[in-house]
Amino acid sequence: MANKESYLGEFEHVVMLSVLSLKDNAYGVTIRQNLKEKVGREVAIGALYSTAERLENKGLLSSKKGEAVSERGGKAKRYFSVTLLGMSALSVTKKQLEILWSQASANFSIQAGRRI
Amino acid sequence: MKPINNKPPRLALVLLNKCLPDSVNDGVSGDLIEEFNQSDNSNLVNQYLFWRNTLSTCWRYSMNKQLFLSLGMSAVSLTIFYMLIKAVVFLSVAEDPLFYKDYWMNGGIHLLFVEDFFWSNSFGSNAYELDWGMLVNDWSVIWSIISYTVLHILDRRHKFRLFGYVSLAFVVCFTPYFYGMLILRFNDVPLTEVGPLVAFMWISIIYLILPLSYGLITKMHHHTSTILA
Repeated sequence: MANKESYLGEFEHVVMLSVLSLKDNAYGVTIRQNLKEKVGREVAIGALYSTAERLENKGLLSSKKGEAVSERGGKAKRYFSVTLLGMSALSVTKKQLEILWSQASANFSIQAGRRI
Repeated sequence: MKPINNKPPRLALVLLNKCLPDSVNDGVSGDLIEEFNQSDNSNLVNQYLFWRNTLSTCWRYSMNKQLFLSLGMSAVSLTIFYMLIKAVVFLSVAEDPLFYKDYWMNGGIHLLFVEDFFWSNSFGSNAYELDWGMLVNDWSVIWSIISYTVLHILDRRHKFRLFGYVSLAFVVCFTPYFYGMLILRFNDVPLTEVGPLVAFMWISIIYLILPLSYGLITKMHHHTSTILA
């Protein structure tokens, strides 16, 4: 059974999946672009960083400073990656959602069909 | 190709630098600059977006627990500072009957601050009577300089954690007060000698409370940045 720390909030879940999908190129700009392009979600940069910090404090994400380039005004990138604990939390969340979806899918199809 | 004079607003960058903790400053500022440079929007739109992101990010990072703690600590420090200045001015113009109260002799002089007449006498009417000479006390000057310097040196050497610094700052600030209370409680101090002792008790706090509060707030800010780093 997952403990309380394993539960991910919806936005935390989205951010972690985005970081995971971007592999070694997950930093603020690419995460925001990815969320906008893939799921049409515009994310405030402050919201992204404060969520990433919270996930780091929980041990689910880690970050490291990257290169400082001139097109960034000489500021370093901050690359994020999912930790082992983070992978475990994602796995738990995925299983929970799959169980809930498998239970709900029959009703979902019926009710969606009615509305169409 | 973007015109060369299109640069992110410098004031916004300064604001980000001031508002954000060190741990995220480079990341957030760099991301915004990179997006600004990559964008195909007009300069006006880019400037607007940069400012919008800057203000929302600063708001998010400023409205936190640390800010409320800092504001609370500033309010408490300023209140104590104000009360003690008022008390010094008040005593300088008080009539003799006030000094017949028991608390001048038994160490409970904090009871002055719950007296109705203390608060009914507005600071405004007393303020012009404030003679800065009243706020000079040799023993308080000596205590404040030595204790503050020792605390500063020890902090630089041992890099106290927040709780350690708070405890020592409290000791440094309020030791004269508790020392005076104990002297008054356990000794028969003549009324004529109570004045200098009370001056040492109060004026030391007046000297120390604001610099110590500032040091504490700075320490809290540094502590938060370190945690986030």
